Amino acid sequence: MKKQNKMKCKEVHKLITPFLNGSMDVKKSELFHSHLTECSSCEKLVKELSATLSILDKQKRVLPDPFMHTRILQEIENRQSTSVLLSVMRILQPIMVAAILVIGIYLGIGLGNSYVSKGEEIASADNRTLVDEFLFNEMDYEPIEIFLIDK
Amino acid sequence: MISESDLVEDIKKKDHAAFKKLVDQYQEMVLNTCYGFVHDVDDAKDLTQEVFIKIYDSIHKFRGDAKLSTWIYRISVNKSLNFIRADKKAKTTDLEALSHSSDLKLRVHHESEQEDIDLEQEQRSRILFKAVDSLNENQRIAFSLNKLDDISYNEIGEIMNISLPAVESLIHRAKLNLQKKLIKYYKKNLN
Repeated sequence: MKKQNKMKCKEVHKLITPFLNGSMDVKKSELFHSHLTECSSCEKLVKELSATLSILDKQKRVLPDPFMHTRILQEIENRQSTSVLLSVMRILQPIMVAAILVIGIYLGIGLGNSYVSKGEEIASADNRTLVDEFLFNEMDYEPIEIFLIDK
Repeated sequence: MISESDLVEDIKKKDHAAFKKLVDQYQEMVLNTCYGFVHDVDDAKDLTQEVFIKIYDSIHKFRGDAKLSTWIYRISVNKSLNFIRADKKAKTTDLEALSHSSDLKLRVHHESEQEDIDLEQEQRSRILFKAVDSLNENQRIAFSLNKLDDISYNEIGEIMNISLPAVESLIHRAKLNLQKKLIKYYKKNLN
């Protein structure tokens, strides 16, 4: 009979939650406490659990920072300045890309034109056209036949 | 005393004096809400700053359907959870994994009794917060908000957009799961 009135560790472990919540009936509660007086392992377990959970009730309240408002406004201003800079960059970037393209094209045309001008100068000096001189005339590479053409 | 709607209207006009009133009125609430999630005072202060900046930028979206405090709580919870998600990648949150760490073994110093007590309390706090952090997200939100003194189950329901019975259920399950996790941890690590 006495054995049936004693709780085992396994049963005590299952009843820890109702014990902590204070929802155990009187008879079970007596058996539970009786087991804790005889079992140091279970007593230690319940003690540690209670101590850990009690921290929730003692959780500290953090006090407000008197300078919080100033910090917030400063941070808002910083972010607004950064935001303005980013907006300006977003507008300037495509303009700069377009400008670089235009300059590149202008330079390319300019270089090409200077190449053409040089060819025209040489052609006018010998009364020959640019086409004759540079595109179809390969006599510069075969000078021995020039006299045949001139004739 | 200025009404809530007048305060909101003034802040919408970017009135700094009105915004300061808002900060003074709600700073402690926001700070302790964030602290309840992140368990670190410096992180809680940084988050509080972020919350109020968000309020300043988004005040035009506040329609007045819910109380201003409810809206502010929602922003605080969301900012805290985003912070935790970002931080989670760097830190171990698993209570099981931590049980193998020597940091959590209860050590005894012989220098002073008070130091022993403080160290034990600190270790218990870490174990407890790791257990809370490992709860399912909704249970964690409901449980953390419930720990705040000035908030009712009804308001938790408004913040989380759930019914009162759902709040009660979440808090009940959170407490049970928390106890189970701690029982499991101590059974493994005390003997």
